[in-house]
Amino acid sequence: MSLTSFYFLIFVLCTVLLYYAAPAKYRWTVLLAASVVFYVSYSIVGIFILSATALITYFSALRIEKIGDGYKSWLAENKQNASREERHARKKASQSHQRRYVAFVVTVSVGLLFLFKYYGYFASGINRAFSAHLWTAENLLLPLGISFYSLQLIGYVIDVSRGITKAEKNPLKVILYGSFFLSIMQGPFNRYNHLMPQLCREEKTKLSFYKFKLAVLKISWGYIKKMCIADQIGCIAREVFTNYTNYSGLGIALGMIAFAVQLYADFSGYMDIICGIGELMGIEMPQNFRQPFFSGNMSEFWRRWHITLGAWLKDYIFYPILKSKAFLKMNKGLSKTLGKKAGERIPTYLGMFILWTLIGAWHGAGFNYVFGVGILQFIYIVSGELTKPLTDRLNKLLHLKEGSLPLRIIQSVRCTLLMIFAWVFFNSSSFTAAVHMLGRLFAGKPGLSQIQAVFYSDSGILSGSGKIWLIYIVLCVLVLLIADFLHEKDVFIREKIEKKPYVARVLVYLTIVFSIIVFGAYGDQVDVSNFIYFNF
Amino acid sequence: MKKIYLRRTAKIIAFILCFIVVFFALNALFSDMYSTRVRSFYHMEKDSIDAIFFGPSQSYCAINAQKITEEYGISSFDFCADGQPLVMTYYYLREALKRQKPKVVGVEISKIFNTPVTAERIVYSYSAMPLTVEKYNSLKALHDGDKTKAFEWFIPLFANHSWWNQINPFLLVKDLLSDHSAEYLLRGFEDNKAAEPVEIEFLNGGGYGEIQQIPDYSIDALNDISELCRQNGIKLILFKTPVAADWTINDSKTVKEYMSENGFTFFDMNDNLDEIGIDPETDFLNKLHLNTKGANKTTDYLVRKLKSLNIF
Repeated sequence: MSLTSFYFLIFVLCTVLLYYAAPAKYRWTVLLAASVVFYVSYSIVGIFILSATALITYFSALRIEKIGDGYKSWLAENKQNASREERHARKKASQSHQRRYVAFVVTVSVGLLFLFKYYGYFASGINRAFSAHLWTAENLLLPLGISFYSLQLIGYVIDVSRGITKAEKNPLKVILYGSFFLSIMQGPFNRYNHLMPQLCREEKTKLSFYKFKLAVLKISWGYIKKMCIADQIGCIAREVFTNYTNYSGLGIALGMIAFAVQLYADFSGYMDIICGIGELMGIEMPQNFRQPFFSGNMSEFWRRWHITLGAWLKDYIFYPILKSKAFLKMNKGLSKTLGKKAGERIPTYLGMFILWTLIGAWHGAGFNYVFGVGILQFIYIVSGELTKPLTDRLNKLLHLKEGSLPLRIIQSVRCTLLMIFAWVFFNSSSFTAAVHMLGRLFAGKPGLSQIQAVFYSDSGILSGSGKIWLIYIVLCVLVLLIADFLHEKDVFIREKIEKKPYVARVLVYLTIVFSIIVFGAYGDQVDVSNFIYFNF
Repeated sequence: MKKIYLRRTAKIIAFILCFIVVFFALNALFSDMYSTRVRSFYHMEKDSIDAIFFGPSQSYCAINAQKITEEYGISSFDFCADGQPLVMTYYYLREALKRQKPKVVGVEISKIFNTPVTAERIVYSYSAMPLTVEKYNSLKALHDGDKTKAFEWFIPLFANHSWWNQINPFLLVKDLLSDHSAEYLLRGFEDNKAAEPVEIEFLNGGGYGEIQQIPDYSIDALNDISELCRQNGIKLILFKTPVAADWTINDSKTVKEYMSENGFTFFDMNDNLDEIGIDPETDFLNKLHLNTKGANKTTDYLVRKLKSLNIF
């Protein structure tokens, strides 16, 4: 059931109606049923794998909490009698016992993720390299959302072990947490103590007409981004990336820019749709994008792009690595030999390298992912930090004040260009293909003919005038930029619209609806793509 | 409170009305993109046509309905469509019978063997058709019963929206405001003066081709057309225009056998190229279509043939 299908709209309508019809205490069961129905529309087998993973997590979390409670009760009883060493040893044993259950959940979740997502890639590689005949898991279909729910469930069990959240007593609620239909496909990564109180609240809530309109506006904006911008411009990106040997120079550049626009509109459009649907039910989904192309540096970019993934990896991978015994030891040793600065920086950079490699690997089994959205990002961030004194000096020379508009524009453009470059690896079929494509960026004599070649390709994907397509792309970029600019200035566009006179509002609503109908990529004549992050 | 609800309801109704107006305006914009013979059918006076011809483009390029009307006094119309398969013909006939009571229906059967209908052809064939049950059922039949696809093609705005980058609003307004009487006079016939020499394999002893079976859905469509004609007291004739590029001797043999066994009136004009007077040097627009010169000869032959069969 694609988010852009008519059936999905019917599904959402029924879910929202049932949600408000149900007594407040049982509304979470409506969400569970809806999530199961949604998941089963993609895969029946997958729901069993998800449920099994969720149940393992559920039992492990209960055990972890019991162990923690056991230690707390012992401590309460023996605080006066027990010695400091005894208390310390008891605490260590309790934590070690808890960690075994955490490790068990991590092993199961990551193991399944590896099996479905990465095993085939490595097995094929080994078969090719050593003429082996390993089973390559060709017939194994990637369960929907496994990259998301695996990490979410791991995060939940770690939070229980840290005492951040209490273990859930109802196994169905843990299944709901893993399978929640609004975030199963492409995120965002939810935290248990943020999402579940909202899904399971017992106070009756109502949906006001005003909130309904705001939610529908958000959903519509998401559909415009996905169907009118991402899918339309995606044709150009797909043509250039698939047949890059036919293009050069500005043609390749056009494809690269088109993909950047497609990726942002696709992913953020999806987020707007699911956040809007969440708003219909009074559920606040975490923000996943915050005007990323207005970032001043790459660190900031990744705090504005796919925010919840970065936050999850920081909280559950990066900081634990930095606080681990090995890294603390490394810090101490390096500080002694190379100085305090090196002692802090080197372990941090090593931790970041591991983090970014994992981020890249999470996106896909292929060196192009590991490099493009992993190692290359690490290089960007570290070189940005190391060259900061230089760039500060250059800015001073050019009389560019920190925080000034000209400097912000330069920084934003720089970040955008760096990401457009990196995304070539993300969207290419392989690392080699990406390198070849980038090589063709500098081939041929620059001229308009290189762009025209894209629109008059034999693929027949792009019908109509190339000029109109270029105008359309520019308009789409402008629309996205203006919307993001207003959000950056904390202008709440939806609320502004709702404050306008009735006639102005009707014009806006009609423009939105007919933009989707006329410019939306749907139907037999259009090669409609699924959401990009759906593949993860 | 009541006042708020009333005001809100009024605003919602006003919005819906605005939506409907804009929807129909855009619908008209996207359906009149092509000048099709479908549009001119609906300008014919009701119950004024005695002979309607159906079939693909081979038919509307070969049968000059204007000539039949003006020279032979038999009011005719070419209610044809690009790539029209027999299943489409059946629904076109149903649609036609809502406004006309013809005495004769002629169906050109070039597409009797399995020929896919492309998206472009659906757009061209259905753009100007009103939103009727026949249009919907025809689209459903073309898409093997897929209701979603049928609905999508049913409404021109949904069907043709992807052509937004090719719309020239000035040309459209010009087309809407201009006089189409010349188009209506043609009665669905396509007037093509250009000529391209072609090679007719039949005349050189070739063109046998593979032996094909008539697909079941074509047979079902033929039976449906025949039954519909019988119910309405209409004489049905099936024919193949003198265009051999998409036709083989074995195709002709197969169809003749089937038609004879099942009591259909059928004739293949490719058997009478000399009698018709077809000149491969001057009578073709391209290898698949006759031009007006070839069409006039074919039309004369058709009328003679139908008179000899006591149909006219």
